[in-house]
Amino acid sequence: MGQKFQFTAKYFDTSGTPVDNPNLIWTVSPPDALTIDDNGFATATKDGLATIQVSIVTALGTTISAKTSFPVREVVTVITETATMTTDSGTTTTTSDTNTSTIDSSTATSTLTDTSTTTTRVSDTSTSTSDPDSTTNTSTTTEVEEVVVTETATMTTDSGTTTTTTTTTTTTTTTDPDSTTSTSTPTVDDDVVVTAPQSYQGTIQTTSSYKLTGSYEYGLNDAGQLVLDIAGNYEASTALPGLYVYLSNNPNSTSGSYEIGEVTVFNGAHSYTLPSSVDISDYKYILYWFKPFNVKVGDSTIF
Amino acid sequence: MQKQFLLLVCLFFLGITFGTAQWTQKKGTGYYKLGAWFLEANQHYTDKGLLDPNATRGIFVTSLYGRHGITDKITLVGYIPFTRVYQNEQIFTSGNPGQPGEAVNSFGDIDLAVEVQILKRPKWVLATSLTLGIPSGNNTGGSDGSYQTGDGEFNQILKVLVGTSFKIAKHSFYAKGSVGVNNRSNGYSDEIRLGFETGSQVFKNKFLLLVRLNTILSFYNGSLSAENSNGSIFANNVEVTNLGGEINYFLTKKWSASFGYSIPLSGKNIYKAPALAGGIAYKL
Repeated sequence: MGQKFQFTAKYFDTSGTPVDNPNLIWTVSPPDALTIDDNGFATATKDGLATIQVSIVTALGTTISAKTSFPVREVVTVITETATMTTDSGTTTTTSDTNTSTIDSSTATSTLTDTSTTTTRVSDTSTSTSDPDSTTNTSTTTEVEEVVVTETATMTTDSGTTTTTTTTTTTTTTTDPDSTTSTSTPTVDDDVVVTAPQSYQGTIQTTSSYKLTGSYEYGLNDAGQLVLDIAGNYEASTALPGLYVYLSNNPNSTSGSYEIGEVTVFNGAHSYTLPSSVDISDYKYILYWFKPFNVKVGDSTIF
Repeated sequence: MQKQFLLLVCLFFLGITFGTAQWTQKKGTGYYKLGAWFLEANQHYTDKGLLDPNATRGIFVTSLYGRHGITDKITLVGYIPFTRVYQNEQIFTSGNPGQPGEAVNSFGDIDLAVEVQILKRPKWVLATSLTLGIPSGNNTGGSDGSYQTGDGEFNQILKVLVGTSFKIAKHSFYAKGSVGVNNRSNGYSDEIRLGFETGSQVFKNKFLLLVRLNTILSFYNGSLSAENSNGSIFANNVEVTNLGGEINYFLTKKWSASFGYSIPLSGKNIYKAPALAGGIAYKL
């Protein structure tokens, strides 16, 4: 069973306005690495490095595209475990295995973090019968061993998309007390979960001669509200009344943007809480705009 | 920023207007001028003195200027500007919606001054002046409050002026310098104002040519900034050094026409653009 991924892509026109239902064309390289449908849902068909490219033909007839590369695996790990144990004893075994691998090459733009944890639980049930008139006791012991393997793979691409794949493998072992061997029958529950990114971090930088700098985090708070949190290292020139903050899809224009508001804090930490109508993936840039002069003062790329 | 800029430009062109009035007036005499000046700027000096772009804005000021000697040693001066601040509609070929144009027309800040002659010698004159800047302009003009024709504050400028005349190669020149302090209110920083001017009449005294250098330095002692002005007032702490020239043509002994040009050489929080000026003056 191959890894599964859900890819999404947005197309913005020249004014930075997102286009609804664009005619996206998904392609895979090498072609036998993945299968992908028109909705961007992909399934790995072999091990190796795969590249997904999404293209669109613009109104002017030109083709623009974007792509990302990442490692894929055809088969999700299935653990088959054979337990051999000696009866008449309660045994508890815990095995933990953590594997982290990072792909880094000129074409690989993704970082794969793979964490696996295997836990073995052993339960011991014993029944004893004792005949007070006899000197012989009869004892029956049944041991059931359950091995649960949970594997979580998180892939974060350069564009900020986070994909989490969770695989759970359960192995149940029943031990015959009269035997010194036991057998295991593994079952595999392969669950693919794709989640949207919850936050982005970045740095605001000046694009003018005015001072503007600072770090930020853009994401959902505990209450589920989308918040732009500006860090304590933020500084802005106080010579700019009329300075506004925007979320935009065009790094050089406030056209089609969302105006967060006028800047009233010029030093230190502060935050802007955005309305529920704004989604975390709606805008790609933060702009600082000197409104009276209609010029950009600074910006940051969110993703 | 624009507000400050406006005041500065007014100051500079006041200087140009003053140019043909060499010293304090004698009793009953006067000098009166209908003038105008204009500029369009698409860049400005930032608070660091560097150049940044801006949406092109223009200022056109029509003014009445007059000075009248009420005694041989005391001259009253008045300056009444009528100002138009505008920004043309912005249209982008990329498909962006641009911005609509906007303009504000109103009276600017009126200046009233008194000049007092302290000493007069055959070759030089020492005088002092007190100018009151009346906040008669509009300091919240336009949709975003940035189309100001005045700063909304009452300021007082105290100056000391020295003038002299001399000859070079049998040709007569005059020169005068001034040092002033501008005491500003409403959280604006106080300023030092320096001025120097020299000129000479040429072509059988039909023309007066003069060159002028003005500088404004800030004390940086004001509390006003974007942080506490709620965005409605432009930047404080304006500085500039401005170089200008002017030609006056004497139509008759009483009437003259002038044309002036000036440009900032350096500055902070002020437009970077040349300004053109013209006027008709009458000497009583």
